[in-house]
Amino acid sequence: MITCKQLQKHYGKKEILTDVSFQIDEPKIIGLIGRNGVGKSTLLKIIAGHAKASKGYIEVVGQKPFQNLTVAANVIFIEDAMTFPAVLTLKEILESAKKFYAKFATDLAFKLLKFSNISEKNYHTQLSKGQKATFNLIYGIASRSAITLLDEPMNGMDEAIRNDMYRVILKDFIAYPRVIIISSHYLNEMEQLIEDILLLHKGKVALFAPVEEVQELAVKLVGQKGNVEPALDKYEVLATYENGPIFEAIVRKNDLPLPENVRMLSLSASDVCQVLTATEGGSIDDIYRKSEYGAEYL
Amino acid sequence: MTSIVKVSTARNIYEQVKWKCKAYSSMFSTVLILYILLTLLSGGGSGSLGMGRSFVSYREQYYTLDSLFIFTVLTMFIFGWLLASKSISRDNFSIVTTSYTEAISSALFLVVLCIFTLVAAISTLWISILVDILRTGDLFIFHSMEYSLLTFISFTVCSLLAASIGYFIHVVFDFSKIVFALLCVGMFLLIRQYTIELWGILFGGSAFQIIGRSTIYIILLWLLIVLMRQRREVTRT
Amino acid sequence: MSIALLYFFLVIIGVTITGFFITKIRIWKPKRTLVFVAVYFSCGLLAFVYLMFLSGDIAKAPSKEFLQEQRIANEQLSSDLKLRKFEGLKEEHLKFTKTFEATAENIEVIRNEAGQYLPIHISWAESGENKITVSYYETPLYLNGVYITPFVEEPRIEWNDNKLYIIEADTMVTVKSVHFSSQLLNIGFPSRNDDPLYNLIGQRILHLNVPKQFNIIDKDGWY
Repeated sequence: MITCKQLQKHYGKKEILTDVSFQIDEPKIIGLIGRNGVGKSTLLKIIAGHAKASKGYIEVVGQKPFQNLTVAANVIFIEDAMTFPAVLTLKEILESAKKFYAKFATDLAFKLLKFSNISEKNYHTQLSKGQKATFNLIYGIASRSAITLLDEPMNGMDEAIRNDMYRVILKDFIAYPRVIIISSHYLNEMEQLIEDILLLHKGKVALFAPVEEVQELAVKLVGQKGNVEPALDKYEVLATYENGPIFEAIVRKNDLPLPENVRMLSLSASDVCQVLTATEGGSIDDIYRKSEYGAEYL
Repeated sequence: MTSIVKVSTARNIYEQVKWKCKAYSSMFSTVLILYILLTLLSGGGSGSLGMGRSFVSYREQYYTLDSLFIFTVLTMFIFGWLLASKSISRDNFSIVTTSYTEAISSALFLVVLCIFTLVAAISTLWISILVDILRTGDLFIFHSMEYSLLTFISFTVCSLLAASIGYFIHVVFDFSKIVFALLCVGMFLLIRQYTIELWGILFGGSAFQIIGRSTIYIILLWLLIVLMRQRREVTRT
Repeated sequence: MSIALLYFFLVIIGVTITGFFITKIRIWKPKRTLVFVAVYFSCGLLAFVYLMFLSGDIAKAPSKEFLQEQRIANEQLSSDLKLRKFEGLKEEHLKFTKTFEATAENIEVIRNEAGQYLPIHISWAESGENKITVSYYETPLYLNGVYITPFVEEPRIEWNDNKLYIIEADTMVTVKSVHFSSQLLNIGFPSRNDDPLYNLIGQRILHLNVPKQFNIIDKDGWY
């Protein structure tokens, strides 16, 4: 359904995506993860046909997506900046959506709107940030497009409604399987929802794997510094932290036996992604240590 | 699994035009409100002629579409500009569209708006005459309507041309600020140098030439609009 | 230059105001707009129907062919009258006839200021009587292609002390009209100043049948 090969995107001299390759063939919910500014939204825009790739190959539902009507009819792209005509009420917006999205579930949209305590008589511009995000998400889910792209869909929503909306996405996906790509900063909350993680880092796909595989990718070794540090030679160290007497190291998981007096803790997919996309030059703790004791301390 | 939907371009454009008529319905009411204001301000009538022959003095106050025409051309230019502006056009991407179908549906929406404007102008004319006649008790003379069809077509085509120019200028603005600046300077010089000869060169003398050439300009403008818009990426912010 | 600048400013102001109307004021919802448009167009239609079919104050401007016929007939009448062929004066155009009795040989015609335009045509009768017959004829009158006869008052003819008084009122015609033509676009707007069809067509004639023994003295006639 979506094929990207060596996709590149730059605005002027600024490179956003340098080499993005992946393929999605079957319906699934995918979490698009990456640090701020890494190009998640840009990638979604390219898939939706809103932006044109500078180089590389992309195919969505068997066609090049940029300014393609078939792609537009099968892909819905929900983002914060999505706007609707100011004179139309939410009811009118939902009623007219059926004319464009053949599978638009109008009844479901109205029910979800009512459930979310948003009056259908409201105007989109009158909604609060959270309500806007909720409405946009309902619109996106109800469209039942073959490819649903959600860019930070939960921004502004309170925790309760976020949990409800995650369930909505899951329920609707089970009833109508399709490709749903969710770009979000709330990976912890989404881990139960998504099947695969597409991790972008430095303009490239750093990882595209099922959530379980990502969780299995790394572990945390915890113990006294004297116990942990010598054992690190046998591991690929991804990050280290020092909290007083406690020394923590995040390492790539392997089958070697655990050293004595060292505990191994499993990590969430979110933690793994954070480590994999950590900025070079140490942690925040390092910065504070530098400013307190000077560079020599390190 | 959700199947792939096939969409007919013509059907999509048709639905978009219907959607735009709803979404931008305030444009229709704005035209009517502005017409009412204009009629109130102008005091009715497009002009008058008077003559005296021996025992009789004659004064005829006539109503034509001319005064509304100038105003309509200006209004349609503004509407064209606004329709292409980001604050309005970004709403178009909440439905299934591409830059191509968006431009074509916008053009067709402007055609609908221009036809509406013509009907509104004719209605305004009749209402103003009736109010004026009820007020003054004058006799109403109905002259022949032999040129009416030609006038109506010219009215619609010229207002559509104005709307297309407005839309085109905004598209150029989005496309390249340098080209836009050059275009503005060019247009300013053109208006400054305005002469009847220049008008004659651009639009010809007769009504048929005006209609024909305006139609050609409209088609050319929309071809350029589609070409420029094809390259544009969608931004909703 | 100043007009060009004015237009530019108008455009800028117009964009701002209209933009405000369109984007900020949300009172014009689609349904409300539809009702507004329907009411407005209905008013236009009603105004049209009333003016064209129901109002008694409507006059349909005659066709050019008809005006041309009228013009030719009137020119013929004028030349006939010049040749003193009074057969051209038709009974249907006769508005009234009055008979007066002359008491002296010289009959003076006295006009009020507005009466200077009414032409007098005299046919001299071989009669020994002293009766003078005054007949007022009026052919259909058209000015600027408009039938103005209903506006024209007949002159009052009075006789006193062997003098013929012609008392006329100025006629003022005020009409409203609609032209679905365009001066701006050079579409069929009639340039009427030079067109003889839009000049005054029709005649008002005072015909005097006077026995030969009398003289008519008309000092003020302008015709």
